[in-house]
Amino acid sequence: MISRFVFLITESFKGLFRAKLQAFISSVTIAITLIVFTITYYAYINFIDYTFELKTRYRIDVFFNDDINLEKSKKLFDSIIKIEGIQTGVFIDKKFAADIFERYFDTKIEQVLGTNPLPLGGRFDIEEEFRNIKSIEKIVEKIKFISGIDQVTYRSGLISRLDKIINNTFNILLIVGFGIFILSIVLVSNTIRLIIHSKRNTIETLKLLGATRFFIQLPFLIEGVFQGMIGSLLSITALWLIYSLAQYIFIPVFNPSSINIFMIFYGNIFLGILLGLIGSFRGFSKYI
Amino acid sequence: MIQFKNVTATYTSSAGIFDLSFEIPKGEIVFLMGPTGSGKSTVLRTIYKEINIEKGKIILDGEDITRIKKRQVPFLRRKIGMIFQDFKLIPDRSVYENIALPLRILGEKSKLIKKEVYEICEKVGLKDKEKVYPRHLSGGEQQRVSIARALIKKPRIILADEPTGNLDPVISDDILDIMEIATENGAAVLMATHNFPLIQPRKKRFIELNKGLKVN
Repeated sequence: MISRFVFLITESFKGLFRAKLQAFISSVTIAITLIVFTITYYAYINFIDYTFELKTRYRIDVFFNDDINLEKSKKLFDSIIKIEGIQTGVFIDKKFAADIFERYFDTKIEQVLGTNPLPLGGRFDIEEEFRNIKSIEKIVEKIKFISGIDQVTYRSGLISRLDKIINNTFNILLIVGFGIFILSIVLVSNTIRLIIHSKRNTIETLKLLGATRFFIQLPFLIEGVFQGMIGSLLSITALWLIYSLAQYIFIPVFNPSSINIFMIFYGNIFLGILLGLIGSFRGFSKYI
Repeated sequence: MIQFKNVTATYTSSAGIFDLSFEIPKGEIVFLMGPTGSGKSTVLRTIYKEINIEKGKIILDGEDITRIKKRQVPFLRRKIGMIFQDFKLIPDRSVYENIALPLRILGEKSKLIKKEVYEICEKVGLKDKEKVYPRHLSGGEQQRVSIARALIKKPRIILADEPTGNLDPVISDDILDIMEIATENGAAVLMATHNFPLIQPRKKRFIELNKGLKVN
């Protein structure tokens, strides 16, 4: 049993060298797949980070009626803060409103109008899971329902457009990722199928000599694992070069903190082996 | 050793073997004669279960193999030594590796395999050719490798499908000599051939087939 297993392992190694070109093509196919897959994955991760950052800027501005005094305004502010989906808020009194006006127009409102007619109000941040147009619209409806509210503003056009872009990009990245995975399995299995096709006479002879399916399949499976490992090592090397180059060129926009080197290393090896195995399995299923 | 009892195995309604019966005891070499398409190869293929039979019974070494399961076929084939007209050698493996293959499949240890391979190489006239690849051998030498591969596991049944089909008469005669040596160890040999002048001088039993039927 042990000598048979040792023989099969040795055969797998020899198999790589016997079909060097095909094994190389197969490994390179796996490597290219892993490179594209890893870059797509990190594009996805960075996109999530970026959209999270953008969405923290989603907020609702509420203006109270002019006839509401400061004490009642604070009560209104407190009741809005309690609404589900509101994370934090800043109470805006007349002075704060005047400061905002000055920041935007670079002049004091009193100098323009002689008085400060700006209403009391509040600026509210949204909880993470409510940062989408539908949830924000619901929160706005609840705020409008409270008596004493004059106006509720939020960047509805921008938020809905951004939501659409984010959703579309997510879907595209998911489809691309899934597509790459399927395509890579087809490519790898076709390459391995070519190797196996060139060995069909050997397989036939082995069958006639009394080799079991397992005896014939195992070297191809182990070869698939080797090809996957070689492919993943190639992809790790290429990714390291791409990473170094990207850091050099894109330092201002590149976010190296989101790159997990261990995850790339082990993830690539795992996926490489998985691709090699699936490819081998699909490859030989027609012949063995 | 090999028993065929009213065996019918067909490809189409007119091609195959029909109601065929014969028996080959141990230590005997029997030739299957007949023109191309007479069913010689079909007989051999029913024995190593490349095709299933429709009627009758095949008994090999006392075991009824008529209805064995697909997963048992490799184990049946391990008991049989097979020799083919096209040799069926693995081109990217040396003579040593080709001959060793049946013992590798049986899971034998490398030390024993080495001993057996060198012994059989000497017996079939392949001494010092162990490291050579099949493409560097002549047709006769390649067939010797094929025979050595069939004999190395010391099978009790040897099937040969036109083993001299691609060889010249002198080499063919040598090959038959080697096959006869195998019968001295008690193996039953069934050899398909259409080369009557080759087997005639040996005065051995033969079964003649025509269109899948035994000719009396």
